[in-house]
Amino acid sequence: MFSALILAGLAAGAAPPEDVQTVVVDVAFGGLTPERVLATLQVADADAEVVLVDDGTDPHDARGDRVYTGSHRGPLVQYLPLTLTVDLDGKRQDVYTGTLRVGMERSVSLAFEVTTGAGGVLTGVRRASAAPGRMSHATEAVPLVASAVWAVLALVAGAVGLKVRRGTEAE
Amino acid sequence: MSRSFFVFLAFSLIWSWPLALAPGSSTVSLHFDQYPASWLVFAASSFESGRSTLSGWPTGEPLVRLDSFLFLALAQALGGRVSGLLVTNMFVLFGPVFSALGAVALFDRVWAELRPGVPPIYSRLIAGFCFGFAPLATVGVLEGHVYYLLNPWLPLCIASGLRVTSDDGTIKNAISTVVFFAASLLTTAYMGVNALVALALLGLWRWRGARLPVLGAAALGVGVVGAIYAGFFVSGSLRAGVAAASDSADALVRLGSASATTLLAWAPWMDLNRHSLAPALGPATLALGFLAWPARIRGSGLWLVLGLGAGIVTLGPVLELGIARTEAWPTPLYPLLQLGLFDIYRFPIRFGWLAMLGLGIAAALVMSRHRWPWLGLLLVVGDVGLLSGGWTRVRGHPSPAPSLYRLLPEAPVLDLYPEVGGLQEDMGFYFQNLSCYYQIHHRRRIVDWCLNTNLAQSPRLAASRAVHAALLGEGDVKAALRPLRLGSVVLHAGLYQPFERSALVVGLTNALGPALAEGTDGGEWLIAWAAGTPVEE
Repeated sequence: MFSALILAGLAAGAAPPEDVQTVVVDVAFGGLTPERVLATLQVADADAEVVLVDDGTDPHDARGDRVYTGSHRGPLVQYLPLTLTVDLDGKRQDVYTGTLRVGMERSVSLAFEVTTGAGGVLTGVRRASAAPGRMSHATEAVPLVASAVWAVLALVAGAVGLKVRRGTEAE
Repeated sequence: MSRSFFVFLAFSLIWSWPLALAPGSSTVSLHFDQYPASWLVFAASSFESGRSTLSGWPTGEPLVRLDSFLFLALAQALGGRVSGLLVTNMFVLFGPVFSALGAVALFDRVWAELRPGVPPIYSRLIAGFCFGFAPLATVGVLEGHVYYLLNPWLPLCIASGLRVTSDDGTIKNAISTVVFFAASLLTTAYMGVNALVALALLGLWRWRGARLPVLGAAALGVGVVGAIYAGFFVSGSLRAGVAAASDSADALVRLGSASATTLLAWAPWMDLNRHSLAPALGPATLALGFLAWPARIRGSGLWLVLGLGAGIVTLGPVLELGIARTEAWPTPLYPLLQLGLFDIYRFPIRFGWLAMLGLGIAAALVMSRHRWPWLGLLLVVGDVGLLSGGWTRVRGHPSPAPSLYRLLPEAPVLDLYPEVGGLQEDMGFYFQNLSCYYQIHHRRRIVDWCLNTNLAQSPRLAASRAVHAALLGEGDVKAALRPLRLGSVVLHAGLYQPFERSALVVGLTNALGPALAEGTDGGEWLIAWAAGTPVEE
């Protein structure tokens, strides 16, 4: 009985995780510097507010490139109603509202560009984007050590040979 | 000299293997800058009044961002009769050989001033390998900057400068110094700056022993050539609208400088982000050259100062520890950053060429006094083949072009790509250069600029954004396309996210009718539509 309980516990713990959709929202601003960028996603029956940043704290964001990024993890959905809101010069504006078909994809990247139109009205338009990925993990120690060892080897081999040659010449 | 030639040639064939077997259809470049070099060979004969008529449709592309005028001159002389890929691969195969021979000629000149007799063969080979196959040669191959590889001009310029600064220098030596300086400058501006710094150091180091009229003539000639080039460069930069903000210049110059990690070392991750800017120097070369100082090798002081000084310059205005690029300290060059010099000089790491030339001469002099001179050669070859990753990083791969383009109308083409942001935004340059490479094969005018180094100015990007915005926002696609007067639109379907791709395909079909062609050869999934707008050629 005890064994059955353990097996049941293991089976419960090993149940497949709920399918999750990661949505990354990128908004490029060109020459503008907004105070706040917010993406409101209607995911299934709930609204999710995602604050977009350009300070590198979001794992999908490159710091200081004037592209504001935020990410949201939630259940897989077919469609994603989305509103982009920007605070600029003390004013809050909705720059984009739309419904995007994301087709139950597990990883989705949504890119926008916000520009200033007539009368100073900010307008967001869609950009087609491919997932940017991240830089590879850096293993700096190994090449540094290899180069240092090689340099020391060369230094020693060079020094030894020079010393011997001078000794020979003296004789 | 002939023995050295065959040694360097044999090494070059091994170093760039398997390029020698298929130089017209494969590449050993890892990144995307060989494509515009190949394109230049193809397109140079069509240039009119400083513009390319094959790119930048419909207005053409202004030719203000050329890197190598010497390469342009060769491209124009060939008149499109030789494949661009073949020409650029010949630079990879033979460029380092001739650069190495130039370094050998410099070492011979140095030797002739120090002692009589034939220079020892191992020392000559060391000098040649250190420069011709410097770590930055591997970088040049991988990046696709093939015109850096054929550069005997820099060592020949310095060799002439040695004659000019000797007590038997002649006006003929002064003229050859100016000619080789001009050749270095026309190879690329960075090489010209290298040559200028080397000549300045030569002049300061040896002026007391020089005939001043000869020295003055050389200095005047170099000054005039430099001023003409600088004037052309500045006017071209202004026309191109190049005026980097100080923040972005700071970031750019850090990327173009060696860090403590990349100065001497290479690791596979360095090649994974569309650039391969490492290493700058060879560790064995540095160590052997450095030995000249405690061993007091006669005649080595100038070369050690040149090599070490240029090596320090490769670190740029800020010394960073490594790829994280968070910890940084100002170097002696930091005031130049604040003065804005690095707004235009963005790659201090390219002083690595001068550093390796100087250190190579010093190392060659050291090994001329060594019991086992072949050991020095072995160590230096180890730098090239192993420590700079030469044989593992340089790999051949085919470079096809999709056949779909041949089915399109003989009219301008717009290539549609998605945008990749964040730390991978250089993918935009890859897409730009890929379009230009494909043009070599399909020969239809394209919207892209092919010598562009500022993506924000790309006309293809602007047109692509307008079309994507219309397609994804249910706008007027035909209105977005009409000003371009295109014959066709090609969607690089394999790059898009599925949900966006389906929206784009549906939108383009609704606007332009059924797809003209679809293909999956050449390594891409492409779908093409006739643009349906009248075209005037």
